[in-house]
Amino acid sequence: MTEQEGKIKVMVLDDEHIAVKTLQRVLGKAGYQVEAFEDPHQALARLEETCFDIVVTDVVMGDIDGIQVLNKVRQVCPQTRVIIITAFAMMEMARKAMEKGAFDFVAKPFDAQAIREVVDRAARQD
Amino acid sequence: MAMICLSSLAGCPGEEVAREAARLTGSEYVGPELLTAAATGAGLPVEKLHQALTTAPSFFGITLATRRRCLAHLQAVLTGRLLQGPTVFLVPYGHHLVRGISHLLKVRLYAPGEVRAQSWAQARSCSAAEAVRRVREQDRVRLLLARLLFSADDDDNDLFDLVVNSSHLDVEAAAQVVAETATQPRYRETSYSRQCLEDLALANRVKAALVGEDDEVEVTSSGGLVRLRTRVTGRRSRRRRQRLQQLAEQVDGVMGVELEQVDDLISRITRPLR
Repeated sequence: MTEQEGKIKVMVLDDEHIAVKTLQRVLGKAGYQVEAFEDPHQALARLEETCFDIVVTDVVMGDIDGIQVLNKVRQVCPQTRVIIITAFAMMEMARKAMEKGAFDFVAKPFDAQAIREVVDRAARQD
Repeated sequence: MAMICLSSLAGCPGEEVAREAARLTGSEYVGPELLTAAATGAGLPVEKLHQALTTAPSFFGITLATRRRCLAHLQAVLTGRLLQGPTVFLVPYGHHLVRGISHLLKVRLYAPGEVRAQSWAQARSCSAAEAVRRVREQDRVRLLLARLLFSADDDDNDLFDLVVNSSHLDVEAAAQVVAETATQPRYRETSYSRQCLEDLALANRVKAALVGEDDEVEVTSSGGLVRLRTRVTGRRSRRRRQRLQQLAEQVDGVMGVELEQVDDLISRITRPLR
């Protein structure tokens, strides 16, 4: 993919095809340069190659979870803002994610406008 | 920014620590005004609401229904206030009233009984024996009411994120510990915790609107959809269920109401006899 000059780069990672497509469409329409992944292994490999401004990741994704993705991002690109999304939101999980350095924690289901607002907020925080 | 719930045992400097923690975190301290607002909502004098939350159950005393009414209105007022911005609050049973909100830091301020009795005696110019008696009585009532109203052991430290022994720290140092803990990332507000608080505030507003009709009704809400769980039974149950539904629909922010009737054991046994 050719990087588009000046655009904020967002990685979207979710093992649910429909969630990935929705996020890609909403954020792409909002002017973000979006790379979407359904396989967390591929996403982690991509994180080794490039720094994203924002990573939006699901928590529960088979053998790799969103907290591991968050840890990886903190290692390779500490300035990247990570937004955790999950269908299994619980108070302690939210606290753990924030403690590990997440920018925000969002429960599914969410509407497109809500997730866009969170990403916009993360984009503004330089 | 985290919100802070301070729970203070009798004889501990709860209000002083709460005010100082609010100053240090740039939050607003709220306490007695919530009780006044809750009493107004419940249609009771504030003294009666205070009694409902601080006196032991007795045969001729305040009924359980009145206590539940007071709590429902206090919960509604409190969660409504929390939506407005950074807050440090100190109200009776505050730690039981707001549950499941990750950006709420729950703090218990405690001290050994003899230290608290000493402070009590100094603050109220009473004898040491009288102070010991009053502190013990307040502890007893607190535990009793927590069991009665919340089915909880109020001495369980797992109810809190932070427990501070005020006999080891002065007010400023205790408030500093509280304020520093509140700035930890794990207590930052998230989209999820904000949504949980909005859902809880709506459920509490609905509960306050219904508690006069049915003090045992359980209310939850999610994104404007409210679920009621009621044990209303008997010949007029249909009309009463309709009434609950209507009242709930009238509450600002409610987009839909689902009502579930729980058939409890007693009504099932007595139905053939009616």
